[in-house]
Amino acid sequence: MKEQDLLEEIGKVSEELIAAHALPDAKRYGEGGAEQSVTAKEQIVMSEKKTEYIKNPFIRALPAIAAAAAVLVAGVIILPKTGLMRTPATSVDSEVETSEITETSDFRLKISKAWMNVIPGAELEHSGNLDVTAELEYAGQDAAPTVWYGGFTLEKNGKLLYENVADGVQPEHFENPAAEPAENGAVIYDKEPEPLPVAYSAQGAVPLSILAPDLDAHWIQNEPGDLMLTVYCRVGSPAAEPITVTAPVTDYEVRDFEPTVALPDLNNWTYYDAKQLIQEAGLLVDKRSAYSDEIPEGHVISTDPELPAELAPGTYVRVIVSLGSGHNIIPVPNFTGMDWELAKTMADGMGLILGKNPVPSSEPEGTVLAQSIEVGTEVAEDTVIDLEVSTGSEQSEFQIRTFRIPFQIPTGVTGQFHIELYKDGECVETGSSFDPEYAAGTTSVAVTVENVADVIAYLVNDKTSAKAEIGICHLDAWDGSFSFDKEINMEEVFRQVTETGTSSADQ
Amino acid sequence: MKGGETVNDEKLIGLFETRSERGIEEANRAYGGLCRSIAMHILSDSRDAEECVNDALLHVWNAIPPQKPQKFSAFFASVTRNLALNRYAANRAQRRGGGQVPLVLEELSECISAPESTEQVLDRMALHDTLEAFLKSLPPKHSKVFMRRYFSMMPVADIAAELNMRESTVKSILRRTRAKLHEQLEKEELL
Repeated sequence: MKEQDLLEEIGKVSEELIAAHALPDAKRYGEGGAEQSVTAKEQIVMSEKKTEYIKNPFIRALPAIAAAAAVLVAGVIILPKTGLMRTPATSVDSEVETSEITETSDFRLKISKAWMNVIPGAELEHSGNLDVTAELEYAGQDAAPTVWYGGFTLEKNGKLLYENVADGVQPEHFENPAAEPAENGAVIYDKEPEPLPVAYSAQGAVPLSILAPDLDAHWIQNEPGDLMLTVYCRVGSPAAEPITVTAPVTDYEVRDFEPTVALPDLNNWTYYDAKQLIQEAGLLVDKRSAYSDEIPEGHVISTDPELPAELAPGTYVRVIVSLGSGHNIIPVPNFTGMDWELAKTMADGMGLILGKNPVPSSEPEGTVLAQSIEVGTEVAEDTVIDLEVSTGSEQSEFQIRTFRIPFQIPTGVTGQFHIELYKDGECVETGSSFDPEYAAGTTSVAVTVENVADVIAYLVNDKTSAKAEIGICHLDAWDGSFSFDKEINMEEVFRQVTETGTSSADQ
Repeated sequence: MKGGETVNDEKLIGLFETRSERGIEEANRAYGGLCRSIAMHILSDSRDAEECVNDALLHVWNAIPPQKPQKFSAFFASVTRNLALNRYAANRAQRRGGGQVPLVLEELSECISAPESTEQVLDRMALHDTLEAFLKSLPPKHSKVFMRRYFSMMPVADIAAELNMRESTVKSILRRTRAKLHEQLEKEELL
């Protein structure tokens, strides 16, 4: 790799990274630099509107009147085309100080969070969703009644922006006609009603999640006046006349709306399939690798975040891809018929270890006749495979031969002696006794050995049983040779086993 | 849209897609200065840099559609950078120009094997993945310093001024990040 390659590759990282970390603020670059974007301008306008709102004395009083009351109602209930409007028997609206709460409407609405989500690229009149989290609190003296939630309306400066109100306990199913934009850009939708009963929790508050979609965000943000929400409820009975609670929506934040995308569980997918799916969903892939005994190489072990999940566009999905078990798995080749030397070379290259077991056979010497592990079996590196290898002969592999080992007898030695041969600590042969005075100057002992053997020869005094080592004799049945490991000094050996040494004068 | 008001990236892309020439004006207003600075860092010649940005605008105009970048600013900056580097290579052949490139290349050489080493087959996909993961693993401040130096080719002094750091801190961050990148490339056997 050259440094130019690295420089080039740095230029190819994701746009996300470049935008987030590589580019300084374009506004620093003067003429031709960026002026405030529309989004930023909108935020500034919104911020200014909030300031104006707070300065309004009436508005400043509202928090004291309505505590944190504000209700945004999610869901839209279809109004029939006849234009039937709700006429609540009891209502609390923005024109009436909310401290005047009647006996049947001891409710307060408290907004905990409100967002104006601006949809990038949308047509202006459908460019925003108003998303609010609120609570409907019961502040009356009696036990909290059951409340049937009946929908909401959204207005600004008295102009209806959004309407979703239930028509009754068993509302009719209304069709969903196309939206009819009003002159002021407000949009009214007729949608299926949502007459859900709303029971109070022990804390006396009911959570409400409210969504007013497809609003003209630009108009809402820039039009002076207060955004007012009215929620409809039926208290105590689904047939009761509905009441309304109205409160202004304040302090909502404007943000770009990012629809999420859903990803399924990608575990065990191949990495390339998973990567393709993630990228097609507009998400980004962060690949990592790890060993796994369970997941095959090239497949997904896990993801972060865990899937399935709904993710915002541009989210990084870390994908952990299996490298396999981390051990080389080798299929056993067919060594049968191969020459032993060639098999050894091949096994070395594959990381296998071969054991050789010579077997009499008419096949040419060195030919592999059989193997201990079947061909194709998957084994780990360094596995030992035993091979039966032809000796090139059908005869036995054993060679037995009888040796007669001669020993010199020095002169002047008297007494009775014999020679014993030991192999592996056991006496395998005992020679005949001899009297050196009458022996012909040598004696010998016969011994039969298989293949190759080492025997230790001892001289034993028959009368005293004194024993002295003569030496170790190596016998090779294959070629019939034998030899001692050192030069034999029989006079010394006889001296060791006689009381008077080799001299027989005193006996 | 009101006159005199600039557009955000999404709307810029929309203007290009609908072949509105206003897109070029707006792109130049929004990011022309930034891209000129990137080109200047590479070419150190204002005329070359200006021509580069104009070429980049033409490239972007021709690319969108069918391309639809996720981040217009990043796309425009990348195109400018690539054109500037190509022009730098051409200028170098003619022994012209200077800028930050020689310094940047010298710094980046710390991240890779010695040039005299045996040539290796470069797995560009693996390098891309490794680089991407590495940059995302950095603390944001370090990533900003690194990317401003090696993508936008900003001088150390400019980075320090923009991010409100001492120059020695910027240099220190660059040095440590290059060392970590070298380590990561070694671990991934890309060296």
